[in-house]
Amino acid sequence: MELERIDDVTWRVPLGTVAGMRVPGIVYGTEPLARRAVDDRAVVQVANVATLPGVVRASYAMPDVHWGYGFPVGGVAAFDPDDGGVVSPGGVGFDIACGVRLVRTELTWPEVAPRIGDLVAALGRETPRGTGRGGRLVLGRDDLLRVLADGVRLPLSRGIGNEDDATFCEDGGTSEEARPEQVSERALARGERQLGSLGAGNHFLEVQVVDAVHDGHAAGVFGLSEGQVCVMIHSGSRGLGHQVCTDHVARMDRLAPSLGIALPDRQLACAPLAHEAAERYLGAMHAAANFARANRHVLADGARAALEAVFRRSARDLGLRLVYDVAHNLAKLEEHDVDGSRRLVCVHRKGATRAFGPGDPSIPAAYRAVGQPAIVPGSMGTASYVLVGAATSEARSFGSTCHGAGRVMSRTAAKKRQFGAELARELEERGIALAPAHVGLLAEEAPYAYKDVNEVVRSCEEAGLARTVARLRPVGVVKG
Amino acid sequence: MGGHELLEHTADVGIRAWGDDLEGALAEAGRALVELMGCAASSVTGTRRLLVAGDDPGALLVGLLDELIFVCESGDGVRDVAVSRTDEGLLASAEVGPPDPAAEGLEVKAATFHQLAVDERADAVEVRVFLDV
Repeated sequence: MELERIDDVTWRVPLGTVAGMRVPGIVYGTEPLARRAVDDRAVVQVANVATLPGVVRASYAMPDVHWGYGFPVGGVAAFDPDDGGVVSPGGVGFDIACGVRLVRTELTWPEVAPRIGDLVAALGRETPRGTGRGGRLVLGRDDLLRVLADGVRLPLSRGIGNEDDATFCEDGGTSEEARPEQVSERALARGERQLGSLGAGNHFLEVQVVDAVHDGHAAGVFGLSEGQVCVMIHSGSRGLGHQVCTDHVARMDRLAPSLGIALPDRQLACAPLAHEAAERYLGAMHAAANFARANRHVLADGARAALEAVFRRSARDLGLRLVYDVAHNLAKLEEHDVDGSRRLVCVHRKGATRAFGPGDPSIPAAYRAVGQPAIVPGSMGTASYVLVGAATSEARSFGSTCHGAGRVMSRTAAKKRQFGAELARELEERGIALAPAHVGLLAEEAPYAYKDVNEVVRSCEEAGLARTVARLRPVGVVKG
Repeated sequence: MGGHELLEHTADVGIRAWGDDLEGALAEAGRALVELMGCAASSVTGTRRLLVAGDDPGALLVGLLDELIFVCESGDGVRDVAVSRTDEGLLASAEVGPPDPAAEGLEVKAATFHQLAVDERADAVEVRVFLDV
């Protein structure tokens, strides 16, 4: 398979790469990253997405793209409802509204360094994690339904967090398009015990230090400065979201023969946006997104409790404040330029972060002049980044950027290369305090299993998707 | 004779399972999932009946694995799985009990339809399914 070079960081997947492509694919990234996407078969998936009805402009791949199931992870595609456009639950993924939350403190690394071991231990105690663990809040059915309808409003009504947690969360912490009645009984059963739990796999809570500021003005607006200690949380909608996706993929898979849509991969199951099945999925997806945001909100309250206990100071005195909370698995109806006119399209971002440029009204007022923050977690033990949407991002990628480093190695291969205990020792030798749920599983998330996040972020910047604001390095890791 | 093995995937994990017939291959895929999730039962205290509706063998495979993910996530361990066909799809019975605390496993979010394959021959059936982890 050959990619056509457009410029140093933009590559075209030509029509005809797979049968039935309606638009080309566009892969962003340096040549080595683009080459990896080909070797990894992610580019075939980019091309497969381009066959779906109503797809507009191009099927995009962010620089961190890798082989997924159906859609690639790191894929962005938009569909026009007026042209038979579809929504595909697999184009959002099972972990609906999985995302990242960054909380700043006014503590500096020299103040935290002597207590980092205690802090990570306390964070570990306050953060339910690993497989099959209940969350910090066990909800009755009525409260769970309120979370699905109102997102972070339920924990706020119980005195957990403060108004900034809504203001600086994407969608104000509440998606109003949520339809809790479209969430199945089984999904509710999976969610009841899990609000405020981290999960496993690549999910984490990290203590980080801002170690480089690339854009002093934007960093100042976001309240970030060099040497400052932050907490980053990466988690999603847990079993509730997984079940919503499972239910609706199965429903659309059953519908497929009657819809007459030819699918190169069954996991691309989809329904026209005008179809009742699409409406039901989107209502349930937004409800799961509300759960995901409330989940990260409640996890952040655990981090607050740990910080207060270790430093014996109040959250206010510690200067705790949400920088931003943004999802990287979501579908949204947005207005974009398509063939010279503004159209309402359904943008799928699977392993991609919305990063609108300056001025968009959906960005919190305090940040609007600089753009939408995108929080990009690196792999375990490597740098993470705060980016901000570039003015060109809408034209380049429907206002999207990368979501992380992107895997390059299977979990089995990663474990064969190194034992978890060995990796833990290495990280600790580098001064990173660790609280893993399972040391044996640690190597699956080793840095060598991922691309170089620095190269991914540089590619986003060069491609005009986002600008780099600050880099953060981990000093403490709590793993699922 | 049945058996199973895990398949490599950049971010996720696949299962290849085989048996003398579809029921045998599906039960093997179920055993592979339980191993992968580290949710083996330390003893058997009961049986859970799992009903799976579906129009084709692939959908039945995905449906069965999704049922087992739910069993494991709800806190039960699984010792073994037996599968039989019904008019509507499948009836599986899972021997369950307290999970073995020493077992380590992955959090599996769901079974996917990605590259799903069921190869039914006269004397053997082989299935392939990828999981989101």
